[in-house]
Amino acid sequence: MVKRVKEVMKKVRKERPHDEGTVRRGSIKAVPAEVSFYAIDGSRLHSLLELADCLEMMSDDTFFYHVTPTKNDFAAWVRDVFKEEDLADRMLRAGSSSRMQVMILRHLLAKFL
Amino acid sequence: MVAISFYFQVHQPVRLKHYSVFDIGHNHDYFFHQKNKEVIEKVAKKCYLPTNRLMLDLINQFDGKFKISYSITGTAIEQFQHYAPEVLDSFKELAKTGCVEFLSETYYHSLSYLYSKKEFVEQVDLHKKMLWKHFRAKPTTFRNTELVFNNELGKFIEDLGYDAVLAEGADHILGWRSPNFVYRPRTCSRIKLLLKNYKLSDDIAFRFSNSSWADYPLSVEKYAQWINAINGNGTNLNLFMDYETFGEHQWSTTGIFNFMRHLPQELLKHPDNSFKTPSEVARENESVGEIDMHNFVSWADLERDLSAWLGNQMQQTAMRELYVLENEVKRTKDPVLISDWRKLTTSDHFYYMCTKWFSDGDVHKYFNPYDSPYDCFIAFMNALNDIKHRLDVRHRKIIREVA
Repeated sequence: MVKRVKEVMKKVRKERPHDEGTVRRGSIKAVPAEVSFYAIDGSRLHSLLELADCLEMMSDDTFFYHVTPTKNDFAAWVRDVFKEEDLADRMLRAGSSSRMQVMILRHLLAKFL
Repeated sequence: MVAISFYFQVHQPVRLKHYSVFDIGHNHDYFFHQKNKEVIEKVAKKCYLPTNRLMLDLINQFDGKFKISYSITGTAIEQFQHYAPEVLDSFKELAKTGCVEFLSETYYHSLSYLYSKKEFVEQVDLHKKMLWKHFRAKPTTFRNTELVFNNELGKFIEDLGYDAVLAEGADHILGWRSPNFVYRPRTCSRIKLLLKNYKLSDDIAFRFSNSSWADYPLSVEKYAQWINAINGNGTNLNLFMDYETFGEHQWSTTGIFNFMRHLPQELLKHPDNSFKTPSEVARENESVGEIDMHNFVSWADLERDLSAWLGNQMQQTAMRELYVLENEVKRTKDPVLISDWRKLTTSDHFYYMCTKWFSDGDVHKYFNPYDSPYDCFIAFMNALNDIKHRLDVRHRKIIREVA
């Protein structure tokens, strides 16, 4: 699944180059710096694609710093900035970075292809 | 563009002596003058004088491009006047440069906001008057004691007319947000919220001399590289720390003075870096979003809450009993009695009563002049009981006069 989604993601990237843009519902465009995700390991994420990419290599320390029994910063970001309520709700139940990555990629595929 | 904003906290409490139960009713002097004198003289020599000289040199060297801000408590200023007037003079010299902003806070470095808004406003006014008297400064930025902040306090401060307020950039509040932007508290419409970047602040304040830290030793080049990386990802960097970091918490032998001496030059090599005071940062940047701090957040300990001052029953009892006396003490209009009572409102007395000897034990132990938190509690409650005794004596006198 991940492999297939990644292939399509490459296609998405090719067709819709990563550029600066305003925040709009379901956007895969990069959001401005002031609403980018500020991760504890120092990385900055500006789009859902970047988040999906980053989750691949993210350490458990970083992931579980942002995802605890009382909070899920990734889901909060998706809800607050991208206004993707359904995806954010699903992400709350992800439990691992790989499952969260698949959720995001599936969402992007369904939304944009 | 990243505006680097240094805020240094300058505070010294008026420490209590081991005021015993046998002193109550006989001796109304609660404070450990000898110890307070020794501490002020020691810290003046190790920190305040050399650091003020360094800051003045840097301000002159960069011709207005290097700016800093201070929050100096009234209790610190009073003790400088008594024990080290040259320290006060050196702060006045810094004030004259025009590159230094003085922030507003409670005169006695108290947690009065939590117990009495009336006392809080009075202490803030006292502090403002003190800033005007010594530095001809009119503050527009507020920082509460120990950066204690929540939504309600934000609104209260906005209503007092301030343009900006400082708070801790705690992870559990920020979530996915960066501390390197200007925000607005959820309950406010106008005031700007500047959040401490605790990672970069603590690299200097706490980790600088820690040889087991992965990034030890910290060079100006390495630190500047971390700050330069904020360009494009933030508008401002708020470095908030105790002034005593320089020479007292980090001894001069650690190289802290040398680090600070070369830091501005290294940072200004990047064309997009600049130094700004908190009020300049607030004025020049729009808020990018609102921050919701429903519960109180502070800059203390790992918990970033109020538990350092109100985490156990001794602390809660002492605080409650103190504020119960507020109205009665103020009704006397006795300046000495009111001043004695207010000196007891200083948050440090409650910090010394902290029994969290786990993750932050070392920090608490370092600052605590007592052998144990219980010793502080006993001295504090005895002093408070003497204040009650002084009030009783006054009442009896008035009754006798009326009769």
